[in-house]
Amino acid sequence: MKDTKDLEKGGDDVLTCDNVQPILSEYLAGELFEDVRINVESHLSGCRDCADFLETLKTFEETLRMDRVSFESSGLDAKLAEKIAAHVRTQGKKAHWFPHSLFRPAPVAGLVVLAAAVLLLVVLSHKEQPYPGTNVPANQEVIAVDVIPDNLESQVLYEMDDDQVKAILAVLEQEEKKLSSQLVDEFQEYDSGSLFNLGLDFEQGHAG
Amino acid sequence: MRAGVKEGTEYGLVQAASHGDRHAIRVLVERYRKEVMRLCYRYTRDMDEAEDITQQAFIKALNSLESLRSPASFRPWLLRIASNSARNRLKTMAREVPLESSDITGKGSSPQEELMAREKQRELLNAITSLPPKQRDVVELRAILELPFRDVAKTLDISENSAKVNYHLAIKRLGSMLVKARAKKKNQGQGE
Repeated sequence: MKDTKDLEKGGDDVLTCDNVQPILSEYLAGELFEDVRINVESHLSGCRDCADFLETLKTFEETLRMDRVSFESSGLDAKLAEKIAAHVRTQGKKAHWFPHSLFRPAPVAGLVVLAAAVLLLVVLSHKEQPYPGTNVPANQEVIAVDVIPDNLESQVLYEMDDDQVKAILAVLEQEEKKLSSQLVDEFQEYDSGSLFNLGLDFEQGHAG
Repeated sequence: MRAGVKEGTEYGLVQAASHGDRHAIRVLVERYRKEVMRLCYRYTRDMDEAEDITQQAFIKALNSLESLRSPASFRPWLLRIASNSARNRLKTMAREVPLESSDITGKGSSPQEELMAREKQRELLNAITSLPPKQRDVVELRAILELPFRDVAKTLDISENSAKVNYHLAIKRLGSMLVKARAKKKNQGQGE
């Protein structure tokens, strides 16, 4: 039923042609509350335009609804459903709102491969840039890294905050350790004899 | 029904039906067949045609779900597909089938009165096809399917006031279209 709130607020003054005509279909269908219906009828009795519109509306609705037929049929739903099912493609494109398509084997396998590829890319990109703040590639032998040009070092360090300085010092410290360990490894590759020989050669050369 | 799909919800039903689930298709058919057939019948006045268009509308709707915005819009979407097909059929029928042979059961009036009524009806239905889409949709749901404005608004995803105003404008426009069409016909008749 039609809510009467708006129409009751201003009494009969509210009922202009503009707000009566849009509810005349509900008036004809008996969907208005009693008090609204009475107000509408009161307006219609004094308004030729609305009365004419009501007649047009009535004719149209009756014309469209004439010769009503029943669509009730006990067996039709099942019969029609079978015919429809026989023509529904099950392999067609799926709507974007279909969430369960994600749980099918093919999309899951695709997602796993994609995740692995992303992980590999992340690892490789990390390897390619082992010295933050430098352009040194991973395959290049590094003896030492200086992240700040010498002429700017004091000025840059002065302008940096504590965290930035700490980060740079950490990189330098890391490089220093790496270099030391590299030198130890190289040192251990020589046996004592060759060292002795080297020493001898040196001594001999020096002596010579 | 598939596991994890809530039976009976529009979303679950549409999903399952699009995969050929016969139970889901059956439920959707039971839910919407009468409404779709009533709409088709109003245009075609032929039960066999109405049933055929209804079947095609369901198949088309379930086979082209990729263009459906959300499963909740299935009903208006199905009605729109059916309405387009029925209007097209009406145009073809107007060319192919003489009015006298259409499948209409009389209600006790004289054959001449009946013929005139049918002519008026076809004239009106043709006029409805020329309305702007929103007004046409509102007229179909309100005047043909006899839905309350609340349901019309919900089906078309518009406000109830918008549905009423569009219906009002549509009736005015139809009135003016039919007056012009009749005046034109009269002038043509006098000219001959």
